Amino acid sequence: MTYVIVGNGIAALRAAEAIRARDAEGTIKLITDEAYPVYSRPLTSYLVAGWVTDERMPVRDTGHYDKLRVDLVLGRKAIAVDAEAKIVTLEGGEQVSYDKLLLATGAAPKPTDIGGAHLSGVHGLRTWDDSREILERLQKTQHAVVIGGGFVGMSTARALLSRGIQVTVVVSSNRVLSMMLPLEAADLVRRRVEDKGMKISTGTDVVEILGDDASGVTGVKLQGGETIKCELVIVGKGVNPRLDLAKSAGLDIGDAIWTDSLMRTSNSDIYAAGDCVESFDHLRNQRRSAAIWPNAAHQGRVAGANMAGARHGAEGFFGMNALDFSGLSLIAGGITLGGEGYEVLREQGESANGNPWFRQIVFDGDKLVGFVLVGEIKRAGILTGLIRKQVSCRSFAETMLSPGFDMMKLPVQLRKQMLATVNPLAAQFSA
Amino acid sequence: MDACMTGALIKEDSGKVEYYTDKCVGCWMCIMACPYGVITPIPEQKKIAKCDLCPHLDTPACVTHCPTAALVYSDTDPSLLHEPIAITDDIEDEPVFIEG
Repeated sequence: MTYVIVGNGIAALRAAEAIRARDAEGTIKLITDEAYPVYSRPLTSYLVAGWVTDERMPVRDTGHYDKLRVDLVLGRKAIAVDAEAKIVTLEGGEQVSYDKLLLATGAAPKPTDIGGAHLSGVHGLRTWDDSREILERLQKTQHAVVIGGGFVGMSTARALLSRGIQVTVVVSSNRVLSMMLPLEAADLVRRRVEDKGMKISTGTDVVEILGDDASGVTGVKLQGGETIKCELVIVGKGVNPRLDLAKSAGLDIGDAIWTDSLMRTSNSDIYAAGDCVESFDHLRNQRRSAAIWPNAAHQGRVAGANMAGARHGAEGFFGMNALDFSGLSLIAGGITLGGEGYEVLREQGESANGNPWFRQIVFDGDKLVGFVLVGEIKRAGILTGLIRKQVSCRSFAETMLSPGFDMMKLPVQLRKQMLATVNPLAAQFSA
Repeated sequence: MDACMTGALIKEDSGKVEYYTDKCVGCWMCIMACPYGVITPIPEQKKIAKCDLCPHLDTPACVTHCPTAALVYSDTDPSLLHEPIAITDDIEDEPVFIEG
């Protein structure tokens, strides 16, 4: 049995591990166009900040692939898939046959059509190589402009600020982290980062990147005509899933590769996992992309197990994220902003350390579908679990609004149920 | 362990979730993920803390000290130690996509 995996992110790694756990004999080939062993994509901004160095980037020890007996093909791009003949073609012409194929090709920063984006000093931040290029550019950078106030933009701005660089974040919407945070929460973040010296410009866009071929970028021009001097521009305006191979294989594609709950594509010998995938969002009852690290890990694990003969169903997937800005932490997940048909509850206060806190929970009828926690993030995962399992929990919603929310606020039967999934003895003990 | 972005939290074959503090950067993704809420942030260190089952003791300290046997350290069915994933015996042989 030959398993071929295209990709080298966390989905690809977890799939390889899951396959080997079930199939001691099969051949596992992993093909990636990057030259590195699987590394932490989220750590790329930490590398820019200098909070980690290169040795911390890999998520497994060297020799891990050898232990798994994975044939690694590094630095080679897969360019086509013949789903009939079950062959993957690499750049250069080499052909690789498969019995089962996993596409874990991830995503790439959306190309930008802003004039001047070709100048040196203009970067996205997605790959380890991106971090390295940015670090090189830092040597001649005093001012940086970050285009986009989303997760990548704000993480990168945070990293650059910590280097003592003057950072301006240019945000189209009225607030930072607009996909995740309501205005009140976003403004808590804004105030904290502005206190630390970051400049945030909301409600505007970069219309042109200025500079010349000799020095690279020297500034940007905003919608209203103002210019900001800078030697580095980071473009954080979203990513597109990488679909070339899926298209080549003739797979069904929406915004990304369609997968069922076994992570199969429309071709039952081809699986897909990670940022290239549209999975089932059980909160919205639709196919949707939820391209975050934990989902990629889970999907990879399920895909790998099923490629090797299991029949595991992946759970529904939703977005969530955690961030920290100079001690102001935030964790948000699910349908965070509410909207038509949803009930939103919220509470704010001040912590013992003087930090403001804000909590918002979103209900769809009886079921929790989203939460935003700023300032007090302890035990956030309990809320994630309630969303994931679609627990009817409106009856104790008010307890979730307090930073002291913990397992003891759950009704005893629910707690027993949760514990019984890992320890049948739990059911025997009374509360 | 799915959420950890540095490889600091890994579920060993024994079922125990091991924490490698050197790899941790204090990103709080594990706090976001743990459905039991048992991961504690240590903001001053940018690290987390979680129960390690007292590897240096025969029996975890909390169990030894509990005067009412409310805390019980027991072996459980090993097959339950790895996250139960919905078994879908009734899944079609061919992929079925939800309209949406």
